Amino acid sequence: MPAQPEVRSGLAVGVGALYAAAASLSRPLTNAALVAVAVPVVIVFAAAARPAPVVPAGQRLRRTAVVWGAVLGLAATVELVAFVRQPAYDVASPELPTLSVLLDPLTGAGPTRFLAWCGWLWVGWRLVRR
Amino acid sequence: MTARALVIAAYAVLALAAVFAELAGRTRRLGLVPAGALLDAVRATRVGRFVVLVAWAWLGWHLLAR
Repeated sequence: MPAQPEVRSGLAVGVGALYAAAASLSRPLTNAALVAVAVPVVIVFAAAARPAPVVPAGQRLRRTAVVWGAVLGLAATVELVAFVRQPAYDVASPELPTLSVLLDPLTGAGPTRFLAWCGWLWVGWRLVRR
Repeated sequence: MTARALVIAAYAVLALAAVFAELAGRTRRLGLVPAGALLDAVRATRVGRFVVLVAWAWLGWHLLAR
């Protein structure tokens, strides 16, 4: 008998939190962190192979797309400007920090790294949820 | 204002704009829908799904692995 949706969601949250706890112990710039990211990426890509239900586009959806497109486009522009003004590819500029440099104190270690992992996994789960 | 402060202010303004857009979408104001509904529409197509997944994977690699 297939599991109820609530049971599946509860299981997903539990497994995700456990995985985030373990993965957040890995240090950035290590193979362990790379593998920890690669595992959910492979799972989510495999799960996303199934076609998603078609959503009819309406006026509200188009307007929302414009607003979010503007926000994300501007964010990408600021990030790109900061990135190309770095002295080197792997040397951050303190004057023009990229978003990842600003978030480093949060995503580098500790409970905030665990929360970042939880957030990232949740988005991945949300992307393949039916 | 230094360049650093300007960049941080730009990110802060964009973060506030994102929160505002999401709140407006959730309360169905300004003719917007929640970002989740937009995401559902984007991932309904094969190309949209691929682009969103690549962006998500890149974020994980960029912020958590490197």
